[in-house]
Amino acid sequence: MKKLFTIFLSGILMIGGVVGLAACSGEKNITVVAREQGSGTREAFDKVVTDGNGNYLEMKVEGKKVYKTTSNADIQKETGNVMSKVASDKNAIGYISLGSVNDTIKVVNVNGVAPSAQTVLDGSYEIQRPFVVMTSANVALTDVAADFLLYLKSDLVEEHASEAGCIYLADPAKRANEGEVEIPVVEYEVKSSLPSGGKIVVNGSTSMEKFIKKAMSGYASLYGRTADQLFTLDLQGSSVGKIAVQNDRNGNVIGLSSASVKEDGINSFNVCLDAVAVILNKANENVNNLTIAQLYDIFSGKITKFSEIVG
Amino acid sequence: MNTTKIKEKTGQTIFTVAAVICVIAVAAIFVFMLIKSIPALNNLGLFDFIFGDNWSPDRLDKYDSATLSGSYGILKMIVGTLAATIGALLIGGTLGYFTAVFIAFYCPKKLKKIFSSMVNLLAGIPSVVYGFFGIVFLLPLLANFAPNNGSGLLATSLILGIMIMPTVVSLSKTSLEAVPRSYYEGALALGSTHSQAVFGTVTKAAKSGVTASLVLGIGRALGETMAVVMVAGNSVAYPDSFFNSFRVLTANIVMEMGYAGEVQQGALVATGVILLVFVLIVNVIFSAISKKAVKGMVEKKGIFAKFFKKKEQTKKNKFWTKIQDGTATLKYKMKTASIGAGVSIGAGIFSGAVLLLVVGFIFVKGFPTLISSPHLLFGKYEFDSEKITILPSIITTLMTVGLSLIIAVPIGICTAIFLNEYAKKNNFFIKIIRGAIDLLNGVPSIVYGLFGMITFVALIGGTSSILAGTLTISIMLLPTIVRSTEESLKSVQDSLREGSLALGAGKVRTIFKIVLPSALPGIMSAIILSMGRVIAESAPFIYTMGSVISATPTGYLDSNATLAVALYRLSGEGWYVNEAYATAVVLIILVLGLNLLAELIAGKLNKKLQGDK
Repeated sequence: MKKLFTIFLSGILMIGGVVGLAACSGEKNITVVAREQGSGTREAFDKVVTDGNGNYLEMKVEGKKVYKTTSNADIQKETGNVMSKVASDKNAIGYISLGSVNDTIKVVNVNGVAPSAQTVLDGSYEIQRPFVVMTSANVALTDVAADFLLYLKSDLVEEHASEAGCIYLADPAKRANEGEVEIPVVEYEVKSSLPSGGKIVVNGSTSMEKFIKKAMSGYASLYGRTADQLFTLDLQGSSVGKIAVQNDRNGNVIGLSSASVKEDGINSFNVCLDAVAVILNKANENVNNLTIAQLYDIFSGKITKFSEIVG
Repeated sequence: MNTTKIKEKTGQTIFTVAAVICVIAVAAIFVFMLIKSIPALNNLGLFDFIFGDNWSPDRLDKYDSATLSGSYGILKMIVGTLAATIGALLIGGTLGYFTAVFIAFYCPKKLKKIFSSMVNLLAGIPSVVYGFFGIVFLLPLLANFAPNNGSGLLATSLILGIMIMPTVVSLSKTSLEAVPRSYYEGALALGSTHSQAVFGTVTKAAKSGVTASLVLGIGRALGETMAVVMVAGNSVAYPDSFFNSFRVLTANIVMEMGYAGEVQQGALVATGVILLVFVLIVNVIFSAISKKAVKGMVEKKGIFAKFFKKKEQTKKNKFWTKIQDGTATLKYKMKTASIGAGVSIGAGIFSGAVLLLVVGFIFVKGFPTLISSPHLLFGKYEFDSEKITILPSIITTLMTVGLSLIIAVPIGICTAIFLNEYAKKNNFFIKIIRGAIDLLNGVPSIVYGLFGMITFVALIGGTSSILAGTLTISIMLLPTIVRSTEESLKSVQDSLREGSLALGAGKVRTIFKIVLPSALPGIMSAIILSMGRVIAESAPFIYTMGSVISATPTGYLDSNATLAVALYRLSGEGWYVNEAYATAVVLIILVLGLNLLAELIAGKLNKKLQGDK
């Protein structure tokens, strides 16, 4: 038994020693928290953040995809995990959808511009992406699905967008993909009774959950129903939504994507814009503004300490 | 034909059919995985896929496009998976083995029951909870002396180690206790102390069972997804230090499946195939090792004895040899006795402490929310309200547990009976079946999820449903139930069977009246573990059952989130951290309740059995 105690004692001493040693060490490295490749949020961030010399965090070199985000980055699948990582780590930096920002973390300005409805719409806040609604181009939608699509295209969803923290798009040109036919805002007229066609299946991006839930309830309440009487909601990511739309045989699938969509067999329009906010730990008081180039350096691993950032 | 004969025939047919169903399930998964991955492997090239260390997918890549713009090489993830599994095995395997020895031989009788159920409880804690615990407790702790925020290989190994420990403990314990008492008594009679008898004789006799438990542990470590995703960091990089972001194969699948394009999706399924190959290799190596171990045991008497004997021969100085001899004997004795015992007791206490820490931490954080917002538990579901209710998820979970046990337990037990009572031990096909079942056990849960998504979801009508999720998890439960039932059937002594047969009972009658009752405690513990698994799993459900908490399900065709998936969603969204803690508390209470219930049943049956004797 004596031996046992000796072992335990030495173990405790060792751990104590390591902790003590660590306490004396200097400033910690920045913890870069990023999303997984293929995430709409990451794509929006990576395609804007550049060093100014033609290098982007995500780019194509001789036809091959290249990702520049540092291999030391902590990759998280969900917005909330990014937030809890940043909220619990003084030296962390991450990016999330603006609608998800809460008071556990702080948002920094990018190139001196704070993300807001106005700065996103006028383009001065650069890191942004569309929220897209998709339907199949190959089958006729059921009456009720077509009617819900009209509702989504109307200005009635403006209110839902602001409740969900994203920015409603009224400009017909911006509602369509670049170079395509403009998609105007429609006037929605409430029908005398709910159109037929059974349940509508809503499938796609998790980032759009807040918005689409508001829109679904808003639509259902027009006909005195609750949303779960009219809809089946299943959010597993943009591409699952896209596949569901492509495989739609009954005309009852509404797909959601948080990155722009250009595919055969899919009709789509951009319903809102979303800013990608750069977030820091609240205890990180010195850093309030980052330039795009600084963001590039941090996320590609060139800058590893916050003290290297001047101003 | 008389009734006995009909009974015998029917019994045998049922057991055989169950085994066939098991085989079909195994085959279906492999066939599906291969079919789905062949186009991707064809396109990418098997060698480049496995040994390429650049993973830069492009979700716009299609099979018919001339050149791929993305790169799909998984070498870094393979290395990551290997490193994390080895780390987990070092921590969890060692801890689990010694804890099992502690429970079986050193634990005071009164504590033994409590300890066993505590370990079962640990097995039932969902991986999401472990991951969450990792984020909020372990990472900040490690960050004190790590150059980064603590995530990386060490954190992953620790969390995985804790997770596989219960698997190792409960199976090792079963096989340790199955060693005939006479071995132990014989050792004592030859002059061994208690510890020497335990470490010199009993543990060696239980080697095959212990090895099996380690195989299951490795399977779990290889297949674990959610908890790893939360603490590994997940960058596509080599795990070149204890604290560096890295990614494992399962994480690759679950991270990117939701957003994957055509080629990327094929590459992810192929990733699953590689995982499968790993499990196969591990199984083959381990069965070889355990066979060797059994052979070698007879020849040498412990590694230490051999080691010191060699040294003795080379040294000529008599006095020196004497001292050497003395220390050698002393060391050997100490090794087997005091240190072995010490480590076991230490491991037992440590395991208990870890459990208390995980559970205690979550209770302290989650209980206040649970008390202060009754809406969470009993509230009516409102579609877009900020008020979260998990009542629908609780009901969904119970529905899933119920139906999956109804499907998996009879098939699993019947298959085990077929394998142990009817099949010829050395039959080639039986060996294949057994190997396939072991392999099935190591198939990562996320792969089951993909399988269910393509087969069951498609069959049932294209949308995810509780039924599809339940069928998926039922297949997943089969290997656990078969393997554990087989172990406990094996531990029933042949003399009981022979006695019954000699008294004129038929084989089926013997199985139901003699063998099964004797093996019942082991089977019960397998069912407990299965229940825990259904409640704990989230990866197989996300793509089959749905991942959004919706209104209380009205039937098995509705889609909904189980509690664990709900917890994953809640903790993932970040706005509902308190609710997530509370959900974790509910999950733990549920597992505890089920465990107590199952234990009560097992206890009653045991008593009844003893009464019958």
